[in-house]
Amino acid sequence: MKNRLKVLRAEHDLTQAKLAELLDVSRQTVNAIEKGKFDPSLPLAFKAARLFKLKIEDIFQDEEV
Amino acid sequence: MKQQTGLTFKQRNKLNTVYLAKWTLAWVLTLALASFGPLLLWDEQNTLLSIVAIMVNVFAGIMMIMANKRHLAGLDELQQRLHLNAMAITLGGSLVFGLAYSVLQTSGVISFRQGISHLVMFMGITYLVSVVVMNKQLGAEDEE
Repeated sequence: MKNRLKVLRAEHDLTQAKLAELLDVSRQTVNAIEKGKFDPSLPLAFKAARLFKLKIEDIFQDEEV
Repeated sequence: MKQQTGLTFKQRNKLNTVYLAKWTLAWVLTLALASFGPLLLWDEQNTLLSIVAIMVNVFAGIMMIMANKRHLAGLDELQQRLHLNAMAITLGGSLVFGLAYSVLQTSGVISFRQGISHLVMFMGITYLVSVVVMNKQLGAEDEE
């Protein structure tokens, strides 16, 4: 699954640590999601979408599409 | 964004880790008391004191299990997955290699007798190595 988390984080001038705090997860998890090594759960994806005021599909995309 | 408790993920995680460390230390100390107490502190014939020491150790052990459960529940989804995988490897490894060693022993291939302490050491090292390796694989320790 691809995601735009790193781009959105940069646009909002957030560090990984700050984004992790806002999403209530560890910085390591934000890092692993950004690198595409870990796919977040649906609740975490919704939380990220709410935070950036976007739809989930605007942040996370299925690579097969 | 903070949870209802008013603590951030990092703060909660730290509190849970300290709580787990305290009960683990209590369990280790009470285990030492139950093991060495009859030899160093009271008469070996005094079974009542030995039973009390073991009961205190079991209580500390139960509290340590509850603290570990709380610690795991407080981790985020990536960390929980890492620990679940590490537990699966540890449990499977202990079963497979423990029984294989036992068969080697009973069939007379090796003579070195293993005790429960060897199994505990094997489990601890396997768990630790599994967590470190999986952290590396996920790049979870990389700097941003």
